[in-house]
Amino acid sequence: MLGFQRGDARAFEALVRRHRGRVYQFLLRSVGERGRAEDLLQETWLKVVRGAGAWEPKARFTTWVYTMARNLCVDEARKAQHRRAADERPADESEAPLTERLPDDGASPDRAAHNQRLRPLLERALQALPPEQREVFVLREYSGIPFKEIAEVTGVPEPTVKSRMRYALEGLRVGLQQLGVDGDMADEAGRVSG
Amino acid sequence: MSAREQPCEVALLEYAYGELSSAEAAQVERHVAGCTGCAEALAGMRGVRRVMAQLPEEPAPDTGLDSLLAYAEQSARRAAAGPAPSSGTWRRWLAPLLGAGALATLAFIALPVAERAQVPLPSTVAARTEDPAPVQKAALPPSAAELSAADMGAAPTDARPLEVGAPAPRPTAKDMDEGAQPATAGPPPARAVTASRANAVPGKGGAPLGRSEGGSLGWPGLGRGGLAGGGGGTGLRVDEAGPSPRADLRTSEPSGQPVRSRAKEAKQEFAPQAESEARAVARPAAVAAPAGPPPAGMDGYAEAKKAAVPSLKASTAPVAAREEDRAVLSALEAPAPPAPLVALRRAVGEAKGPAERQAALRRLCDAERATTPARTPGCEQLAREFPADGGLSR
Repeated sequence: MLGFQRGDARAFEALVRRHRGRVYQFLLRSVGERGRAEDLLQETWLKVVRGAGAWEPKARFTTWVYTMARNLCVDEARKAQHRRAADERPADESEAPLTERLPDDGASPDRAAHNQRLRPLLERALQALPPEQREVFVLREYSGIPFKEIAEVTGVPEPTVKSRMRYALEGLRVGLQQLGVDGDMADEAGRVSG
Repeated sequence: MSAREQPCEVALLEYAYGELSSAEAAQVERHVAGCTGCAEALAGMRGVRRVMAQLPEEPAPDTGLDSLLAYAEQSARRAAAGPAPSSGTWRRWLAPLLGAGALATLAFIALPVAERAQVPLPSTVAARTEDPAPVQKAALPPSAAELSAADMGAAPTDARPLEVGAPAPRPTAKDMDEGAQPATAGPPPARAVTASRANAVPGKGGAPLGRSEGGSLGWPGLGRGGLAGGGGGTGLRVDEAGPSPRADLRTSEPSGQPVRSRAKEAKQEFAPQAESEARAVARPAAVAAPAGPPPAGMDGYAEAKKAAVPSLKASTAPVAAREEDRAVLSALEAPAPPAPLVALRRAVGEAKGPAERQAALRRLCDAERATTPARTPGCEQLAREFPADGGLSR
């Protein structure tokens, strides 16, 4: 980031290549729709470019970029809430739930069939979590952000983050049980994918 | 398993995600080995993580990546080129420019008024027509038209200060030579009208077309005036006849002869005549005009003046001349704020944000104190809005 501040555009490209995928995972899991996640991803990196002059080395870049992404998610959630309140129409096809539109990596027919069956359940369990628990779980589980940094990103104390994480794990365990997904199914998934 | 029933679940959480040191991790492992509840809780966490890990990672789309990188490259070039000048820089230059523009506009408006103020009075016009004898005229400063003519090459050969006539004792030659002395020894205070091309700067010898310090713009007495030539810009200045900068009389004409010395000559030679003319006019704000035809060397001046004041001949009627002079006086006595104050007040109105407004108010306050110390609404407003500033000049 310091290189980009000094005018090195290649430094910024390296940052994008390194972090873009995980930031996208966070956005996708948070908002649950690919189109909106793509828009937010672009907006996040545009904010990085515009705010590069204000970035200081004392702040970790990952904390900074996830903070911006998370704030955009919060704003998007508010807008979505207003949209739902204003228009109760069912979502059209382009806004179909993420669980129905996730691509398949096509590793094998068995795996494809399994993913086709398992993914919607996992997504449903994840989306059933309260937003504050979901964002903590996604940041820790899929983006690999330590609890301490999650506290900085979300602006809450670290014990609160851990508490939310424990509730998220408990909520997922209960939700997965209700959806019929248990450890055996996961083991089966591991065997198929392995 | 219940999170509320497991007090050590935080440690288990940190252990499950590998955020404990090796010593702490070993301690947790020993505890879990002997605690069934914690072992079940840890197994539950690991089971959920194992299941949710099956959610495949979706690759980020490349949509918009090229445009993003292009935008970043453009931004990086700007960053490498250095910061753009701030708006404060523009404001720092804009305020003086606006003030100078306002001054120039006022000067263009005021010059015709100054020319009309120099219309000869009936008695002097009559004297001019009846007395072709050698010139006895009051010292007359070159008008703006004269200055323009001088700029065009027809330099007046004898541009002399205009003595604004009044029934008051004439200054002595010594007074004129010293320059900074009042033109009169007693009341009413003498004032002078100076058509100046160089001294339209407030705070340097008088306010431009505004009130001088503490006084109105009446012309009750004979004053000391002079030409300040050779500078840029054109302005009309009304000076107090009291102590004032001597630069007005020091500046040389295009011919190179100091105006002050010419004024001295004029005083010595024609003072009695000018005094008699002033008495003949018998009004407090009488304006003495050249008595008699100008000398041969004044042809350029006369032509320029004639061109600048086409109604000169028509104004020879006594009543008309008086009314005209009164109109000029009333126009000049109108309490118009100096041009820089107008620009500064506009800047206060256009200020964005409290800091900028405070700075604009402070500049206005300083300008008011320099030009109209008797009336400083800007300072009062500054004190009201920013009590900590207190309207103090910085």
